[in-house]
Amino acid sequence: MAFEKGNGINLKKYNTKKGINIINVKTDKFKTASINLFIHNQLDRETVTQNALIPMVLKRGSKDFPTMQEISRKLENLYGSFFDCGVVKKGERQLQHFFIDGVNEKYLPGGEKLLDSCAKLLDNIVSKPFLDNNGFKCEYVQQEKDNLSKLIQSRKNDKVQYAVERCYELMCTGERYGIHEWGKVEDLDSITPEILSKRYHENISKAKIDILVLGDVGEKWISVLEDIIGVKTDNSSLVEKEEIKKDVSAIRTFVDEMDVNQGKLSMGFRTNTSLADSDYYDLLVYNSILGGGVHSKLFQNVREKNSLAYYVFSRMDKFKGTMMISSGVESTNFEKAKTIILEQLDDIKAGKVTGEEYETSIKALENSLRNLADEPIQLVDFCLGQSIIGSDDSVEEILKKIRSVKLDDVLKISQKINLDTIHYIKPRGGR
Amino acid sequence: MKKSTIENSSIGEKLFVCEYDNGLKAFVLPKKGFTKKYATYSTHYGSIDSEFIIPSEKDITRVPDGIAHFLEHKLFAQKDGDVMDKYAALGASSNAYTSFDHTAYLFSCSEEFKKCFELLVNFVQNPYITDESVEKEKGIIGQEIRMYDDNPNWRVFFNFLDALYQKHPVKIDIAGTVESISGINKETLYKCYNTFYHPSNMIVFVAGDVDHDWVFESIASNQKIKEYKPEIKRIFPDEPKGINKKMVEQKMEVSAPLFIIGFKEDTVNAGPDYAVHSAGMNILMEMLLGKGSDIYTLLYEKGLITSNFDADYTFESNYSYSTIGGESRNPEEVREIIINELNKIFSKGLDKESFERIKKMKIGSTLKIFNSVDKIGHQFVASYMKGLEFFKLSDAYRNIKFENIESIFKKHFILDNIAMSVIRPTHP
Repeated sequence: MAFEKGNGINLKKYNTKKGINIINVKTDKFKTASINLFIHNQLDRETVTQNALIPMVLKRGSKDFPTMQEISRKLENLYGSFFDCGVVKKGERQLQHFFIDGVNEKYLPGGEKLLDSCAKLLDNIVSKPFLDNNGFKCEYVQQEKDNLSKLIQSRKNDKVQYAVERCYELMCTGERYGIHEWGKVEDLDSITPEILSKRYHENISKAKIDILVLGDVGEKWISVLEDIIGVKTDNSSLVEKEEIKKDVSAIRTFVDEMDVNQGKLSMGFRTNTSLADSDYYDLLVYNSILGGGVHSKLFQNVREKNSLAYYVFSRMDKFKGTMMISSGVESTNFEKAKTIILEQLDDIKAGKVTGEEYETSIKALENSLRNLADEPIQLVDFCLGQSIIGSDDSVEEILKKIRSVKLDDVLKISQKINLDTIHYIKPRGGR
Repeated sequence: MKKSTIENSSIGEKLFVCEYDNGLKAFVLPKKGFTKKYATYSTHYGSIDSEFIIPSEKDITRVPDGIAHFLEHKLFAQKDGDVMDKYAALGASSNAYTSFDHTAYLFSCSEEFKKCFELLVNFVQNPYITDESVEKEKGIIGQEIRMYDDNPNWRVFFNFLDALYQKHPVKIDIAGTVESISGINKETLYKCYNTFYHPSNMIVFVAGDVDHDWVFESIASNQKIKEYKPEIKRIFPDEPKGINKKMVEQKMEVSAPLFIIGFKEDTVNAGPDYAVHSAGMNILMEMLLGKGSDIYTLLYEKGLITSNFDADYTFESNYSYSTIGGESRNPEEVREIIINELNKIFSKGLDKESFERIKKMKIGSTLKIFNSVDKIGHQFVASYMKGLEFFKLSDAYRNIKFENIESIFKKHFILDNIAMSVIRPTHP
């Protein structure tokens, strides 16, 4: 059990008899309370599409609310409580996420026990699905297979996001990290209600399950929640640790053509460092200097000095130790942009980082960490990340680690970072 | 200067207000226990204000499309360096956005609030625009425009506005076009700045754990020298009744057709009925097309729509419309079903039970805005600019009657005023 003070985060952890971990962040700052249930699965080519499909089928109907319309109407009656579910990817882990967000009773007329009802509805959807003879209702499975297929195909609609995902897909072919969390259309045909039900039962009885509760609730209500939740897990299915270190023998280049106006240039890197390593915070500062905001070298040089792009950033995956630089540029300027981007990396390697760049990069990281406690979604994401790596570090402790990073440490880590893959999206038929 | 306090006990929030002699208004919403502080300085000047009469002149001034947004970019440049860099040095983050009717400059920080705030008030009042920097910005904004040109959700929306409106400038993209911004120069930017960036046309809003008296005094000492200016005359073309086109189509690299179907409102809803009409429309859209509605259920079960589906209502000071948008293999069939179902409801009447349910839902969802200082700031400014009282939004939902909804329903859903925009795949 950990208890944390400072920065407004008051966090307690409970290991329940049902094998589920409950993490309670107690705060009266928000008008709502949210319950987030995470099922941790290995991101795996064999099961990825099934795992993605399960939440979609579950939200179609539960034992007490057999249709989506009944679930929606129940939520409306619960003063617009919001429910949704889906899958998220963290490193090489695919998590099924179910969450409900309900208004704090003290702002409502009549003072109903709203949060109890929210917890019961969430549990009904997760642990008591609507079943017929073969498991999940056939019609629901069929329709949601169709919807998942549409969802996977729609990935290309958002070009900014797609550019990043596609580059990682190509860079990490053959690694689990190269798998998209929504899975593949080609898997859908062979999924039957029986197969899906079997997978679902395996998820809820064997995987690690975390429930994050954020709001003005304390120990007493946590035990109410513990009774409401109907799943029990033996934590027997384990998630393997990501492979972080990888040598790059040759930089690979890929080009996709699409019907677009603006080209996209993405560059994937191996940092050979992850959250579990002692020099992780050096990498965090490095990334902030390179492309972590308006103060960064990439923003200043690609956008401000050379007017080549509206957006350019570098982003790390702290679990896998990969880094992605991505930018929207005219395809005729690809080479120019690439040269300027690589110059920024070389400059850091050569120690060309000003005191100001170093200071503002640290300050930007500090600011976002301090503000974490005020944004429910970011707070949940932070707690989940801590749970994944098994860390009890408080925000204060993390701030201390960031502040202790010296410029020399940044130079040292810059030597470990290698370009792996370059990906271009070019306008179709263009040069 | 005149100070006052507005309190709303049902949402557990308080708002401190200060009105200055030169017309500037400032608002502080205290958020005890929050680390994050958010402040915005906004002007009632957006992309639709492209024709106006400068207070000291007689003739109409017409400026290039996209200039309000261009000016937003350029205000960050100061004589002694870029404002973004200054905020970064203070450990804060700054941003700005331009909408149809306003431009907002903002920052959020955890420390150094006073310095950040003084910087905000000062930089917005001190433009430093050079010919060279204007040319440089054209490259950056050009790429911003090209990025949006590739965004199917953005395109389906602007094509929809083009289908609705014959003349109203809301149909023009906020950033303009690569061509229209090529005609922007230093002189026109200053002309727009001097007309619209005046205290009487602007507001300051702060949310967070801050001392409101300090905020008000800090503005007071800064504003002493600025005098009140006469009202700006904005010119909008007379928008004829009825829609522009029934359908606008475009082909893009998408996986399946994306659509927006919606109704244009011919009457402009001015006056105190605003709040009731707007709340009523929001309830209606949810009752008729929300996730708990019969129409949504019917369309979903037929496989005609996915969970990527939304029904909304938008209203601004001189235009308003509803939108129903999503992804479908057959948008025309979606439209046909919606029209048929609406016709059925016309004859059998609205469902009172749904009304009560959605009313509860809306009371809860307006409370949720108050979870985040960013959201509060964004919504407060948007409401203020269209003449709505932000603090009374939840009251409007609490007080609305079924009879209000019935009359709004009959007024809004006029079949002659329905238009549609579709983005189709280039490679079906």
